[in-house]
Amino acid sequence: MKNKLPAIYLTVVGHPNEGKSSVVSTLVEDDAILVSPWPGETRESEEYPLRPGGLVHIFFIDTPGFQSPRRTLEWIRAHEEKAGGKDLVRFFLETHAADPDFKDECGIFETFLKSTGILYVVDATRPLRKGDLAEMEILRLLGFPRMAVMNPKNTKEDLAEEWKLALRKNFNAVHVFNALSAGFAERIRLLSSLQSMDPDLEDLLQPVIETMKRDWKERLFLSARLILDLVEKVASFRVTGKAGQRSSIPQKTGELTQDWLEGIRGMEKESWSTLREIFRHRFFAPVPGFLTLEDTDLFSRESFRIFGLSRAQLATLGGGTAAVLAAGVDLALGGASLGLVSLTAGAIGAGWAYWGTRNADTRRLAGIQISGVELVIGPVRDIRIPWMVLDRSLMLFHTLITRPHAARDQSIFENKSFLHYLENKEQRKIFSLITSASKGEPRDSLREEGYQILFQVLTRMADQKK
Amino acid sequence: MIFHQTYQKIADLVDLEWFLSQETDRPVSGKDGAFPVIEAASDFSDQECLLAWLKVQRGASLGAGEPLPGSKVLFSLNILFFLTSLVAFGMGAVISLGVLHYDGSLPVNLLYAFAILVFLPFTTVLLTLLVVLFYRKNIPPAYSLLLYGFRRLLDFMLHGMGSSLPGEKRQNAMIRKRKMEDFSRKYAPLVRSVLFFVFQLGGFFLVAGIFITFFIKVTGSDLAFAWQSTLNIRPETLARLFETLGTPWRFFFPEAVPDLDQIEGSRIFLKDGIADLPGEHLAAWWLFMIMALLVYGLLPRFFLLVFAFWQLRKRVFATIPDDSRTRALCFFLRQSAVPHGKEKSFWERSVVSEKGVLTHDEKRETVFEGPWELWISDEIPEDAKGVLLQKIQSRLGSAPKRVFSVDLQGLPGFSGLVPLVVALEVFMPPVLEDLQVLQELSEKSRMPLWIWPVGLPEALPPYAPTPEDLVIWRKKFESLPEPRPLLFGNAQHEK
Repeated sequence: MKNKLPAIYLTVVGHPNEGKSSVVSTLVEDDAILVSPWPGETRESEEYPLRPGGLVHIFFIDTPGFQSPRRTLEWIRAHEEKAGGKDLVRFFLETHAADPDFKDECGIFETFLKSTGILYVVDATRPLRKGDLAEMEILRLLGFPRMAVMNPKNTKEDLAEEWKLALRKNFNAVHVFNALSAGFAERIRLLSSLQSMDPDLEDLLQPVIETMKRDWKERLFLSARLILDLVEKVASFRVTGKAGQRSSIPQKTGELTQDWLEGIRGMEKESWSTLREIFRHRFFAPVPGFLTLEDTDLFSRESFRIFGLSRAQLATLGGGTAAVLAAGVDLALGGASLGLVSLTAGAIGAGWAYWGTRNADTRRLAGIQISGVELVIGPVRDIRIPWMVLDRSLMLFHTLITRPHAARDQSIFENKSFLHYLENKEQRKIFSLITSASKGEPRDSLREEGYQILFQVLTRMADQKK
Repeated sequence: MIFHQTYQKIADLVDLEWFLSQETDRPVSGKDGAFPVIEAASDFSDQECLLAWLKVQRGASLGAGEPLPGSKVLFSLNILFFLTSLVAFGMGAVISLGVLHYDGSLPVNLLYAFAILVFLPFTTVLLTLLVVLFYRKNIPPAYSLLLYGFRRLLDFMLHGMGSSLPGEKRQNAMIRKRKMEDFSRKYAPLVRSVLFFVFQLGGFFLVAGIFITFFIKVTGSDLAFAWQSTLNIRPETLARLFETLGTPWRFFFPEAVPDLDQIEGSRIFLKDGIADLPGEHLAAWWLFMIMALLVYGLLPRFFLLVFAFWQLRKRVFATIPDDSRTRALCFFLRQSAVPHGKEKSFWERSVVSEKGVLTHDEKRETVFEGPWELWISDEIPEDAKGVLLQKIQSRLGSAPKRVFSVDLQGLPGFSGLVPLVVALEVFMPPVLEDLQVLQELSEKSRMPLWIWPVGLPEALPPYAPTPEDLVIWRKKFESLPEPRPLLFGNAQHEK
């Protein structure tokens, strides 16, 4: 999509280790941004675009923390009479460009030259200190549109009144945004509140917010399709193999069961990977475990085949051949035998072909194997298996939408089922789809209906993510 | 005796560093266990304090049976000196033997032998003298160049890795770099002196090898010296040259200066051979050569060796391990030596109530008044100050002389020459300007400066810093140049 609106640059500033990078990471859904409990992780200012549906209008600029706020404030106070706004910033840069003590301040101030607005991030779970007041005063004296973002890093959201009071004095707007728990709705709320920072931003922000909402819906629908396709594939999945001797059937069955499990896991892995891509989680990469098959009825079937024919087919062929050959005798007798010879020969031929291959051992003709047992595992009769896969996918989906991009741990699932998000009626529809798939009779109408149902379910999950 | 003292001092330095590194947190915070009581430590200089402490530490580690690192280093140095001497002597002998080859038909080429055995070693003496005389800090010798190059490489790597290394690893790299710089600041001149001494030792034994082998060869074999030149140099020219070279010994040993007859009589034309040359002229050169080796080789080398040893000794005794750790250690040693029972001060009578309020009790028996001051950041809540004072004086073993409430940015205004404890909130990471202020204060006071970390009021126990905050602050301090502030903290609770 081509950008027609001018770009918005929002500089994110604050004291070191207050969670600036976490806020940016969550806002732009980029888990590649360096975030750590160690201060000074961000050394250079860097732009990160917000890309709802490929549209880029907003850039968040992550910056290092203020390292000399009091001295900077002192300088600004001494020079604010001479210049203001961007001119004062330029003057500061000219004066301190070569001073290592102000390296980070220069890095921050450089971004102000192109910035549309400033987001000042604070960790409001600690007390307000003189250094914070100095930083706020710097931003106030520079006079750019600005908003304070209270980021309660330890998720307590225990916000002190003194913070709010101090922030309200110095900022056009104050917004609470927990970068380690914020979801889509919180992100939208933050973007909407940017409008209060500067009324001119409204026209620019509104289309972005609309696009974000559309994009979110599309992502949910894509996820629904992906998950349902996986469930359907699992329901109809089967593996086949051949056993030479009857005695080797149990071993071969075990091997095929393992192959079946691997196959299911492979499908899940692929689906999970796509799901992660949809929600832009690159470094969070959970891997599905093997399904637990306790008391599970994996439908298994075994059939003896010779010359590629099943025993029934072989009996028919044997009986038919014997009957045709014996028909000559009946003809020779001029019909006096009433076709009994053909009938008897056919019965003997069919009986021999069927009963003679009972032991199902391998037969060879001129050293070439001509017979053996064919084993089939799946599709599963136990309906719990596709449901289990559905539940696991829902769990992943829930993790992906609730996990902010600022999180860096690899913990994944809450140990609970998410199937309760499906209402009874919806469960029945999905059940029909699974049943028809396991019978090898997929129905497009059912599938389309299933997508819609699952989309509704995912939307509900996203709305009630807590 | 001089050797022994010098060696002993080197061992002291090594052992002191080793014991300090073993102490980890204790010299910094004085926690867990009392320091040894060293009689009269309160009157000692820092160096005397450290030596007394070293003696106690050595005594305590005698039972372990393991040799101390100081002895190991001395042993390694002795091996280095011995091997250098041996190899240099051997090289000298080999060179001498190679040059002094006479098989009855061709005499030793005099000019060639002179160039190899006298002129070249003498040139190295001159070069060494030039280095010694014109050495300035901005003309780094090989060692400094190497160190400089290494530092530049490290800087380059740090800068290059800056964007890719995670913050904590980058901080650790900075600390390592700082440690190297600290070590270089303290011990680089000493290391340079040791290297200089080793070079001079090698030079002396090389010349000694040449000289002794020459002497043995002359004594035990039949050597003939003759000179030759394609340039057809006149014997008179050579006579003047040798006369000049023989000036140092001409007046008391004139036989060792060749005259014109000897020079003319020892000139050889290869096509004619030596059959017609008088034998006494061919042999008489050994006297000149041995005096030249002595005067231009052995003696200057000996003086340089003595100079190198003198310089090494001077450096060894001038090297004082003065850093934040040693200052803190000296403080605690003096504290432990001060007898109790002085008059109680205002702070000695301080009592902290359960609510953390500071009151004063005339009857209260408490610790004596120490020589240190406590500065509490004015951002720390009032109700925390009483508890803080109690904790700090219990850790330092004495009450502060004075207590101030200070603004961090106002700290450099003070320049009291007393050990300081500054109570600061550490729940936010230190920014550059805070670190600069503290480092400046530490540098100004030339006394131990401790930071007492204060956490959030909601912490358990209240105002206790988190281990994570302690690690951040400690590492930030470790990357500052010496003298740097020291952080009180329990290392056991840190990562």
